[in-house]
Amino acid sequence: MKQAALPGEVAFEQVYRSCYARLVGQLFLVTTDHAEAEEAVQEAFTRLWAQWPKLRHYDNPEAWTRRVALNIAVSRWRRRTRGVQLSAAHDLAAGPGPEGSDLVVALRALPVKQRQALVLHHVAGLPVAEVAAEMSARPGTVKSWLSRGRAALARLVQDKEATSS
Amino acid sequence: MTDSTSDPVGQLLRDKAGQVAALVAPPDWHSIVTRQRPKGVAYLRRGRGWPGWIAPLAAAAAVTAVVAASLAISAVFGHARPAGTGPAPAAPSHGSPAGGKGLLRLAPPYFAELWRTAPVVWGGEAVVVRSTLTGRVLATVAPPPPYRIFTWVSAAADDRTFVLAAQRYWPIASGNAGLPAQNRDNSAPTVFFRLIFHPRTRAAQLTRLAVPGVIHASNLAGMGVSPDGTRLALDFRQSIEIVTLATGTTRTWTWPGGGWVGNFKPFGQIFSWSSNGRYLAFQQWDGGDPETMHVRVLDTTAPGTSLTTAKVILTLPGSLANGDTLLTPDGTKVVAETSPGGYIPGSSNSSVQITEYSARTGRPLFAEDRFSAPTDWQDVLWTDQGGNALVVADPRGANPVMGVLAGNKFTPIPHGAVGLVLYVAW
Repeated sequence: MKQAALPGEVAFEQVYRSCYARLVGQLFLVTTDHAEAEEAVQEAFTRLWAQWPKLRHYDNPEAWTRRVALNIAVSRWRRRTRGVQLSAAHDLAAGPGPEGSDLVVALRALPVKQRQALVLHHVAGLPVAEVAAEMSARPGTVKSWLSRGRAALARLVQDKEATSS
Repeated sequence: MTDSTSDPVGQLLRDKAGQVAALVAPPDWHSIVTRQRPKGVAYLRRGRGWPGWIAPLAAAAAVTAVVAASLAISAVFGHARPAGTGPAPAAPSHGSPAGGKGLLRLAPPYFAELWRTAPVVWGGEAVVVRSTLTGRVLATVAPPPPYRIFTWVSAAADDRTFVLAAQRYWPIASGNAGLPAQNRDNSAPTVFFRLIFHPRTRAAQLTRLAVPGVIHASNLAGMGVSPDGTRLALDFRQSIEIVTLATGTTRTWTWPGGGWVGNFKPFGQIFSWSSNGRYLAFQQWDGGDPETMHVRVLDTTAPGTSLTTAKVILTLPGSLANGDTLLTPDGTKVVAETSPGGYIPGSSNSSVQITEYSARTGRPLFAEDRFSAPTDWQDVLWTDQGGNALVVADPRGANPVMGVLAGNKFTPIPHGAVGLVLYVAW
């Protein structure tokens, strides 16, 4: 049954449709778990809609949603690492899904802050200063995270290049 | 950002994000986001007016009439008797006699049932909306990804609005043998959905509800939506939280003493509301040995944060109370499944029956649908305003059978046999 559109519904749907998959892709690099990423993004959109009358006037609602989704994902990750028992689903071995790749294995070895910084800078395209503001860190700290993260992943790239040559 | 030649790591990450994004199909956003105005509007009609809680004159008169009628019924059918008053009769009982199909019209026309393919104890992979009259499945809805399992279901009073809890994995419970271990996880967060069934089109619309905080399956022991569908009561064993669904605001009452709050078993209808949505009835167990169960009623509009302020309206020994205890929406009675002889399936000394108690005095008013030496369990699933028509699950045959019980007559719902446990809501 078709219902009448609520105020702002069309604009919200446009943001949702244009950003959802992209945000899941970005969140996946932080969580390395597809379901975890999708859940964080859905939760973030839930909160976006709750504040839509205010947030619809933002220049970039996607950035707001990504920040919220990252906060959700990171806080869950922290809770897990404090000792809450995880299902075996979070310790997947390499397999056919998106979780099963060398890159994912390498990402899992990185601290979550490094993953977050890499995604914000290299995938979302934020300059270091904005990444620092987003992560409530100093630019120098962000540069350090990026440098270490890149170094760890660069080994993977070199191995791939060596294999392909 | 730089090009892929000078930034191979960045390119690797962007490629991976793009690959994952390409695999993602955004679910219908209505199923993800609560479709409501941020300030909230009532979307269901309010329940019928309720004149008051403590023994209104009209209700008292109704009780008197029902008691008189029930006693007359008991006299006619012989096997119904006041609960807890002496030993069970020697003659075997096989439940209330069969009634006509018209009884089915006394219950709401649609109900929701969690449907599952695996022989599990908890939850279902989809929810089906079924007809009470025919038993037919009218709509089937699965949770949107990444959620895969519905864990609880509750019904509002308009006969077509339901609230569901969902999570990604099967909750861990004894008896889940056979399921892959990685698919069972009590630490996965629980989320909530509203399901509205449209009888004319048979469409069922699922919308995500904004319930704040992270709720894990291992902590959630039940839920019950208010009759008008605007509030959701959550049972956390040592506390009850009521969420106003339009705003996401919550109010919490805690149980400061020993024991716990909630049902003896982790399924069925944990809560019952008065029809005006003001009073919430729940079980509170004292944790003693032997245990005692109290049915308490919380005035959700009164100040305070302690569940000790909730009035005790019924006290039963734990051995007598095995199932749900539903406050009738008019607030005059508590309908309960009881086992006067103790519940031991197959034992000739065991018996189960449906007993109605006065909410004012806590005394049994009458009992019906008695089974001696039951082969399985019995439970009460729904009650009308005054407890005159009920939906129950009875130990009739190999599996419990759902049906409408009224006037000491039982009419099964077609295809109403149920599995191990009941996740149904009217």
